[in-house]
Amino acid sequence: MSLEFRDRALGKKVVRLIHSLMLDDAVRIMHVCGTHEQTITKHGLRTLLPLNLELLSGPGCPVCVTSTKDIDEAIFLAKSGATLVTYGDMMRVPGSDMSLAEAKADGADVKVAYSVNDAVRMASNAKNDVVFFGIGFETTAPSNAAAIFNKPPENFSILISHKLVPPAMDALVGDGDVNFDGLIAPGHVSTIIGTRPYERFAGMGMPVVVTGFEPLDVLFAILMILKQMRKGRSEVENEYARVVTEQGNRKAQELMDEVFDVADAYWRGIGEIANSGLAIKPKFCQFDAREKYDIDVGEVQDLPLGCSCGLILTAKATPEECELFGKTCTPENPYGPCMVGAEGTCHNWWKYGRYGVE
Amino acid sequence: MCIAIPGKIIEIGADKKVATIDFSGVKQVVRLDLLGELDDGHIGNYVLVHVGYAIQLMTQQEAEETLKVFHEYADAMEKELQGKST
Ligand code: SF4
Repeated sequence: MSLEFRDRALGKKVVRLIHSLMLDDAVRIMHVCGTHEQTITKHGLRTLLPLNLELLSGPGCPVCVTSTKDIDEAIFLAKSGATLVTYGDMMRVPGSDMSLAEAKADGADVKVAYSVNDAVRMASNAKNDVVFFGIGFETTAPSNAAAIFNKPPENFSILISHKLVPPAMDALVGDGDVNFDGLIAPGHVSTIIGTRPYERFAGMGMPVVVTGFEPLDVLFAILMILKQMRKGRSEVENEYARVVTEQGNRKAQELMDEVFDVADAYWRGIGEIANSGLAIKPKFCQFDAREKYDIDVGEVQDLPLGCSCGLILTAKATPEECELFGKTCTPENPYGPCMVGAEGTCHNWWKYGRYGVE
Repeated sequence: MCIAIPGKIIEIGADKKVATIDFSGVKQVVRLDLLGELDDGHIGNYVLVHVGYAIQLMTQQEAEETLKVFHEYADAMEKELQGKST
């Protein structure tokens, strides 16, 4: 038994409906989740859509938007004697001079873990200081709040680098040259935050549909956005009601409020976005790696020279428009952050092709 | 990274802080900090798990109902469109 959500005949019907409902003018729909991009490219959804309907990929790859400074800080800590624990996705992302994987090859103590709990366990079993690299969006932040709230051992701390999705959407929708007509909101971020934070975008005339990760989910979201556009409406609709509620996960939100303050954050390739990040509250400062250690990383290089990740993350360019795509930059040898992991747009376009040809 | 995976609750820990979850045969112990109190009555239910934490309680019924609702949605829309063209 599984909770799979696939039905070929229904999928075909939804595609037919999308074609029937399509407007005469071009339509551009943006999603802000790397996992949505993976669903779209892997299943070749773009091939099924009307030619003048474009699916754009926004800043939804947490690994890609982690600032170079944060990566440099992680490398600094790993090189100065602490055990730096990170999610595997982060290992090969280039910092200013090197990646965590390269630092490890150089002798720094870098370990990969699946969960912050693994890092807490490592700290309990070691005398050495253990620092967990806390990246990710609202889906991931509550786990780190819980780890801190549960009083981990003294030799444990977190290098916090979380990003919040709605403020990034604010920046996109508030951008003078908004280049899209509807938004697909990320399903698992919304499991935590609920659907309410998107109301303000609907208020600004933007149809929003919160969506899951099966191909059918994404197709339905497109259909729902087209239907809203046809009727001249802009609302928040919840396609992913099987796990997303209006209020979201209250318990997770409370834990985040207890442990974190909202702070400004730097999105790699995009820049600083107000109130789009988290900082550890002063009362938990003993678990804040930035308070605990004197970190000095010097000059930081945002993106490697010639990498257009910033434009790709804001859907102002496609990977194919980057001269390095598939040449200097491949999944085997990623040059820029968008080529590294399964959520990077460049990575997915290289692996599956724009139209999902495997 | 934001992907969360559904699995079935097969055991709740004595301290109610963890549960054993079955992901189609692969068993894993996950933390329940983000869900509030669960008890043995929840065994057999599904949870959505992300980086070792259960982040949402869900039921098989909900997934099946969604599919039903979506069939109805598509059917209704098809009828509406046909109504317009004839
Ligand atoms: S192909 Fe590589 S270098 Fe070009 S934008 Fe993508 S990640 Fe950057």
